[in-house]
Amino acid sequence: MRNIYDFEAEKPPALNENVLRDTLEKKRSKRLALLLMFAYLPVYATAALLAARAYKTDQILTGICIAFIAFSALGSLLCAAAFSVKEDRKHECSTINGNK
Amino acid sequence: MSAVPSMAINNILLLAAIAALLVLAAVIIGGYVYRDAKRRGMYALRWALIAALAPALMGFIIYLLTRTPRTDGKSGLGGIGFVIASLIVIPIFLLYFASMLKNRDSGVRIKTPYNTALTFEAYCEEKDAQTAEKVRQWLDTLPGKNSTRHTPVGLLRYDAEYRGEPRRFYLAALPNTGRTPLIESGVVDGLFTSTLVINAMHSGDYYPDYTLYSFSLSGNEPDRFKAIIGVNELEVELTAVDYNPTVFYIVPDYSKVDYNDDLFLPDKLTIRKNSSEGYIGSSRHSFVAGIDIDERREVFELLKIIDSAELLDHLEAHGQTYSDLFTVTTVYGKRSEHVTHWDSVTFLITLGKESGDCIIFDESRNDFYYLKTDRSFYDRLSALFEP
Repeated sequence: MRNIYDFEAEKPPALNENVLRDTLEKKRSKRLALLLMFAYLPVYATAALLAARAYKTDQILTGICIAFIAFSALGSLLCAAAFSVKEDRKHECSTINGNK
Repeated sequence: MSAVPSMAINNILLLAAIAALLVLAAVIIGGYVYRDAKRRGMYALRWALIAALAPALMGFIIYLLTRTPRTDGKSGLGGIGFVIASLIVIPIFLLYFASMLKNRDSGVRIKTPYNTALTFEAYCEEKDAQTAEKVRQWLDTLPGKNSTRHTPVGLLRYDAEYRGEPRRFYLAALPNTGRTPLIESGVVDGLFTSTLVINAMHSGDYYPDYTLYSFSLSGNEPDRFKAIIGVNELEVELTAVDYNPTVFYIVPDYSKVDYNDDLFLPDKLTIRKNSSEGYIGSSRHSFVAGIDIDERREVFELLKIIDSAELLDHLEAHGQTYSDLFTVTTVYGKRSEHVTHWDSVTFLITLGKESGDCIIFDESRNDFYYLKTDRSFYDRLSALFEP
């Protein structure tokens, strides 16, 4: 029978308690990150509420709130984009190194 | 009056609470990341600053996703539960505080009992020649009478006072609104500022001059004025003057002046006796009898008693029950056709059953006051109706 995977070609990854714990922590961290993204939504809601309330008479406050939402959304988008590009590169490098 | 600053302070406190919560969230995140990054051999200060200052918790999220394993050989999230709980609870509090923000009570009271928008010709009929001339000169300094685009609306203000409260009289020059524009004005109270909006709709006919609109305010002055003519939103250019430019009478405080033949007085007082039953603030009246008093001296004496009466707290006045009520209407001959003219509104005069005082509801000066005097005034009015 012909094997579809050559088990002799590479060593299996070292598996110990620490590695398992790290993996578990990373999974938890990802869940927390997701939770934090939703936790920040009330802050946007607060700013939007203030902007709407102040629209008729306090346009400066409305402007500040809208600027905050825009800056915050744009900033987080840029951070997320920069982070994902960096992660992609890291993943690419590790794949190349792994293939070697 | 005192509620106005406290309302603004409440809003400032709430905004300060919101800002404090945001700072607290940043401190909690920064503190946690600094401690955690140190244990993992990462750049603690740099990551703490990034996590605390990057918008939308993005720095903290990136830190969580990129942090390396701990160097002390231990594992676990290291007290992150508290941080996460804080970051869930704090935004909810932010939203709660923001929803508690209240529009300030500006304390501005506006009264325009009938449409006082007049053409300049009609205005001249109402006012003396000297005032009309001053207003003409002012109108000539205003830009663009036939345009409502990008032209500020001129507004004159005259300051007066009654019972220690400011009362302001305004004359607005509205360009291109026709002879009889429909005008609605009101105060829009915001979180921190109040704006008086004059909303004028063109009457459809052509009038080449400004239409002059009189209104008056008591209580505080609004922070801003705005005029909307048709669909154009215009700024208002305010000028204080030392004469009354409006078509309203400025009724003197009769308790502070002596009688003389030149004293400004209504042409007559119409007093009506009503059979009533109820409590102050809500009642039903049925007309019983009415008389006119046109003897100047007597008119003055009655108004002097009213103006000498003690100011009564609204809460103290409300809820008092009474029976029978007099209404006193001041009538000015020149404008008697304006039955709801603000200087021609009524005083309500009754006897509070609980206090035994004569209670007067005074609406004669663009505001309403509850006043209190002894029952001799009520008896004096009753005597007028005795056969």
